[in-house]
Amino acid sequence: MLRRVLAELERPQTLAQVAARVGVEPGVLWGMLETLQQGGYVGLAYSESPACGTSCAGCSLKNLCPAVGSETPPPTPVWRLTVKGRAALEQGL
Amino acid sequence: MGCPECHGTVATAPRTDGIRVVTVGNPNTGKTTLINALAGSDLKVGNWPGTTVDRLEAQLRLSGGTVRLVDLPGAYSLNPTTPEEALAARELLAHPPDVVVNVVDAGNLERNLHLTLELAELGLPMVVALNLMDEAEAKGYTLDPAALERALGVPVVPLVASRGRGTDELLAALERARVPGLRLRYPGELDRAAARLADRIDHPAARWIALALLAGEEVPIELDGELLERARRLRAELERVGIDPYLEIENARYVRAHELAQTALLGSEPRLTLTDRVDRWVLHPLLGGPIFLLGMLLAFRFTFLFSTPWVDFIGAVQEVLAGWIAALPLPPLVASFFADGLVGGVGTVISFAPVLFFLYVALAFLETSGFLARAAFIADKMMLLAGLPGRAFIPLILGFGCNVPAVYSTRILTGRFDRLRVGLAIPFMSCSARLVVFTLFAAVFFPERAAWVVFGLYLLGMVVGLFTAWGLGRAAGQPASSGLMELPPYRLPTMQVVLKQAWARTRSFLEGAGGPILLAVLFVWLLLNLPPGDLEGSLYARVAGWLAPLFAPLGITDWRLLSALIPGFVAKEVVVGTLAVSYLGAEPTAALGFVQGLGQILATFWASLLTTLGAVPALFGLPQLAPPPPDAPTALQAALRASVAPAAALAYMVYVLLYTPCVATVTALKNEFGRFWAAVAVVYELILAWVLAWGVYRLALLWLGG
Repeated sequence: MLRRVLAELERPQTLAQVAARVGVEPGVLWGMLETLQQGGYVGLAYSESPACGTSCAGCSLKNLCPAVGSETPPPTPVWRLTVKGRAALEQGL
Repeated sequence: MGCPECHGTVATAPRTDGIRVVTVGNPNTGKTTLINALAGSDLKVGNWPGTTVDRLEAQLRLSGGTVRLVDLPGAYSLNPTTPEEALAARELLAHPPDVVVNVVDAGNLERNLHLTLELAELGLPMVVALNLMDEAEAKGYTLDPAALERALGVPVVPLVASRGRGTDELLAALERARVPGLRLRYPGELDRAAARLADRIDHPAARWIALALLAGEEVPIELDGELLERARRLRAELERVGIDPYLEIENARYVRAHELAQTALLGSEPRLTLTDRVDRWVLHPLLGGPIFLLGMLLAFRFTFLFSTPWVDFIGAVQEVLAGWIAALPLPPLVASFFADGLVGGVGTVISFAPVLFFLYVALAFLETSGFLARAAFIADKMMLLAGLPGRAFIPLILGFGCNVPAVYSTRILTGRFDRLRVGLAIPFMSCSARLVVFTLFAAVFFPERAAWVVFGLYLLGMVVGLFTAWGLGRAAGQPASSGLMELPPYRLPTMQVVLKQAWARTRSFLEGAGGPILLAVLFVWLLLNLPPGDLEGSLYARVAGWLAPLFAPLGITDWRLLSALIPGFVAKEVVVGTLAVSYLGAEPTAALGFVQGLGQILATFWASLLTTLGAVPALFGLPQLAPPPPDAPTALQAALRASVAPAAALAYMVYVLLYTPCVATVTALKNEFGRFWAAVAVVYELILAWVLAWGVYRLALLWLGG
């Protein structure tokens, strides 16, 4: 189930769309994302992050990301796969 | 409530006297409300997550003795990510209670059951309080607590704690509390490793601790170093055989929570929120695009329907001021400087203000209402073709109205490089001022195909703009897009916020771009009036003459056509007016009396006010896409027809479409991206305009002949 969520993060979708595809309610998916974030498999994207480097450069949703160092929670959080998340996904496929 | 499957489990049903009962649950599930309902205490209750941030305690006197009720802060997991979760985990592990009352939100059952499964692995006697049953029903869920009880192997009590419903049953269930009988299914190697590690842990929650250590979690109680080292080795062994303990453990919990929720759910007819209902249409795979375009069209129409009367009003005030100046006993050149130079220049600056203000009102509304986030999502796929972010669509669309606010609206993009790419693409979007030129020329030279010619020019501008942005993006490299986006709920923005934001942005433009525009207007006035009273012998005409050899390959040699391009740099709106003056001669400004002028201003103000009010129904009317049918040729049309061939006229239109943006747009580019990029935009567009106009001219020669 969690790998399915990781797989869905490979393309831009809304929370509701991914929830429908995985077959859970958005609230459950939110919990899954927090679990995955806690494990380091997904990360909240921050715009203009030096860590993002080239990986953020082509992301069409990056403009919805909060600025680096922002203490305000993003109104529209964007999650993206981390290196660990991608490795876990590839391992499970 | 019966619990047939509880019989085989390790039943530790305590006597109630003196027992310690801890309530645990996700945030905002009503734990404190429940304790208050049970004990009649007055603990702090709020309707938001995180009301309890500390351990709270209340005494409950029952017929069989006293029960200590402990309320722990809300937690989604016992693997803590917040201080509140850490406190809850530490309390459960360091001081294991006699009974755990797991308070579950019946309306968010699956999410809550994840914690239930973690609690089940603690090996403590447990009761599930299925709270907020009323809200679950309101959401359209029908639950079967007995089925959940059978599946979990512990008493499950449906409750509405806020109304005291089910509290007696919960108190009775405390005596039947049991260690849950269910076991989660983990991969074999992981399960065996957990069992081996748990054997070495002397704690009721040995299995949960073993799993947490294997997952690499920190356990909030003291453990000996040898155990931690052993856990580390076991984790490494599992990873070597391709098992990710954290992912597998969490996955097993989510899968089981899903299964349990399905078991307990008899039926669901989820009632959609307003946001859900609207998003069904707005994010629809087929309808989403058209709805988005319709939304943008409305914003666009709102801007121009509401701003046009006020632009006209500013024009009328300019005319009145020019009339008053004409009435003064001034030499003609001085009067012209004040009327055409100074008043004309300031008027040009101010005439942008209504367009900008209403556009920013529309943008602020879209932004704060939640539409812009969805617009970005919908346009994302379209914009990806050009390697642009989804939000880029908004400034590009706005560019069809006026390039100036469109350039400023690139601020909605946070990436500087994306803003630059879109900023450089915007001047190619044909603004409404250029439409006037296209309409005139298309009607004169292509009366039968005027709509297609105008449409083709718009299309050409879009293609060139997107190609420019794409080319810059390619130069920087464009990896694939990825991500998951949570959309905010729709909200009705307050008028105060919208107006304040719109005014701040408009003022920023007036302060930043006003000076350069005024200077440019005065410069063109100087070209036109040196020497005074002789347009054909003026610097203006001479500069146009110098340009003639450059434009000869495009078939444009008439100095009057070329000269109109110069004030076109100040504002494209004046191209047609300048052509009229060049071909037909200028009309002298009539002198106006003070009262007469004041009357004109008031009359125009009233007319503008009425037109603005009348614009409300027009906002939802069908837009006119084609230029109006040509009337009998005017004097200017006839003069144009005689001065240039159709192929050259087409090249002229392409050149007007693509050549340097107006001075206000250049100033906007300078303010947003710096002098260098503003200069690059001007040079790039001048060259590209010439090349494409030449190409179109050559093709048109083949199609139309000389």
